[in-house]
Amino acid sequence: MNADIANVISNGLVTGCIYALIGVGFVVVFRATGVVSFAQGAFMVLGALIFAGLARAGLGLAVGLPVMLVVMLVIGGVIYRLVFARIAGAEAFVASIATVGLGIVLEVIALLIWGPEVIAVPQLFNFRSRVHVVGELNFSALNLFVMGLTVVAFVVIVVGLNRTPVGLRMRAVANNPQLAAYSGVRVVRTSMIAWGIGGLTAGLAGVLYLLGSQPDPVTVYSLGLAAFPAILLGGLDSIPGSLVGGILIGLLQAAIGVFVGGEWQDVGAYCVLLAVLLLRPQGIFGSAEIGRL
Amino acid sequence: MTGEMTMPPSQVQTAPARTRPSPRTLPGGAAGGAVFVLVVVVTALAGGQYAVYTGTLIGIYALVTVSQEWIIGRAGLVSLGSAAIMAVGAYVTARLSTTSWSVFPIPLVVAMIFGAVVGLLIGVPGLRFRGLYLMLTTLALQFIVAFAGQKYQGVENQSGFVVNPPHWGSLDLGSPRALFIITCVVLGLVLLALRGIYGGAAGRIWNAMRQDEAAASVLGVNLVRWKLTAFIGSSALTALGGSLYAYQAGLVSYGTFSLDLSLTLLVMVFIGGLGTLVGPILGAAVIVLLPNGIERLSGAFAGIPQVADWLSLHEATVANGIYGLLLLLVLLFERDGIYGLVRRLGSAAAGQWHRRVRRGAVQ
Repeated sequence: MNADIANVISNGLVTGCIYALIGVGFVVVFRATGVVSFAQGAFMVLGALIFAGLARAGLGLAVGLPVMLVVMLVIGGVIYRLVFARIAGAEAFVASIATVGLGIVLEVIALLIWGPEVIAVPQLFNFRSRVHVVGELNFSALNLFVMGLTVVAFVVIVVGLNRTPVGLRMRAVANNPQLAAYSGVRVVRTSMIAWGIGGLTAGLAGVLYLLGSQPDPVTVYSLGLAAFPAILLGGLDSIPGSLVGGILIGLLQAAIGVFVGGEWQDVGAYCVLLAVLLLRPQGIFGSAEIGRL
Repeated sequence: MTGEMTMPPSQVQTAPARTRPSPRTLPGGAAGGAVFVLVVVVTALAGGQYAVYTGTLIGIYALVTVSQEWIIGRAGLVSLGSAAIMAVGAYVTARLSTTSWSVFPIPLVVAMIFGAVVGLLIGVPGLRFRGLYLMLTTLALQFIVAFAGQKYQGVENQSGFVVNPPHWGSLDLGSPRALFIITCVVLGLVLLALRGIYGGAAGRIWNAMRQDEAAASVLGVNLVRWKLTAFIGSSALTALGGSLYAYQAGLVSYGTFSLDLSLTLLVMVFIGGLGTLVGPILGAAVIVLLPNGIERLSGAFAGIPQVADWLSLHEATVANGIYGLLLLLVLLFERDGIYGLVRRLGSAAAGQWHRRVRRGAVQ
């Protein structure tokens, strides 16, 4: 196998996993509350900064990561309760605009507390050890860690939604909030859980991105917007779609980076977004009835 | 896997959209117009350098926010690409200003035409679907225009294209005061035109559409066509604002017209108040003056150096945070924005006054 292609596959899969994690949180929030969240980038920044703080305090991955996840779960739920539960009856699009404001506020809070510098995090395990797969294709330990955690996150979310009482309630709220409320489902509490999952997965994506590169908060924040082409390609309301869309856009961007040039990566992804809107606006897996006039 | 729950929640939410009173235009029209003319004349005659400069900036942003309100407040759509469309107007103006087409209104008109064409191109894919899709399309537009601008500037124009001042033959219109007057005249004409449009049949159609798309459609309104009309018109005016911006800045570069600018413009429209022409102008004024206010605030804390230093160090970040917070607060508590708040306080005060008069407390 060609070294370039091997590079595209390993880089693309890793970027794709991060997009997929941003996307799955987005989809869970969108299905439960109908809100298109522009705040995923801000949740990534918070997750990355909280984790970096814990790591600098001497907590390793085994403690720091679960603590960060719990904190992000709580932050997501509390924000839904404080902000979005109040505009639940309004048009979903008003709430989506509100997420723009929320994103700005959270980013500014993070910048004021931690500053705009590159996020410092101690090296937690040996990145360099590489695992040989086939031909020129090999993955670093970090790549495998990113992909492994993504798979675990998707399995937990899919099993959680389909096999647990909480998941059943979340699906009921997604399907018809009024009927769910009449059947005794506490819609606000269930939506809080959905927003908590949205915050948690975005935080995880932020940490995985942080481990792979040395970003500053603003770069992490803008990655939240860069995930939109992937989310739309997979379908705004499809959980498997967020995985497939994320990986496809990740691979595409990696291929553009290797064969065309790094500066074309973002614009290539947004051209895909426009093409998807023109040709198949519901995405690969999305339901067809989303919003055609 | 999860096939049984494909219905998006936004489809089933049947909570009625908040009904608004029919759109108000300038308060009493003539009175608002008189205030506008008075402020402009006083600033133009007596304003210092700073007042004229800030006034021009507010005028330009007001032009853009008023045109964004056209699609947000009338057609119920949101664009995240207003800065990109401003950039189109600004680039057209910069390029024309160095050619024989630079005679004063020509670059502005050509910028409007380009803006309308971009609006058409981006509106056709974006408007076939519900409002959220336009946000995503315009998000893509924002990044594509920034990238195209960067490529267009190339290496030799890396810092941007120089804009020659507007002129009529040998008469130079590039002085700050002349630019201020041009901006205000253009803004005034746009306000008059929009007032006419909103007051007529088209305004009623958009109003009906925003309140209930299904009902409007049943009554024979072609939703896509009317949304596209609003989007193209608003894009033309946004590009006009970009054109004036180019003249004021004197240099056009892609970095100015970032997603942050789009979001700031959106914040201006929402905090000013939808459904009126005054609201967006107020919003533009508040946001343009805000950084200055923070500077004053850090001056007021001169006694406590820690606070003053912190404020002046983080001025831009704090201003950014205040935009975001204002946007959240407006959407949560006062959907009609600053203008709605002023009106509510005004009518409450008037009611108090009338009660006191009735009780005989005031002679």
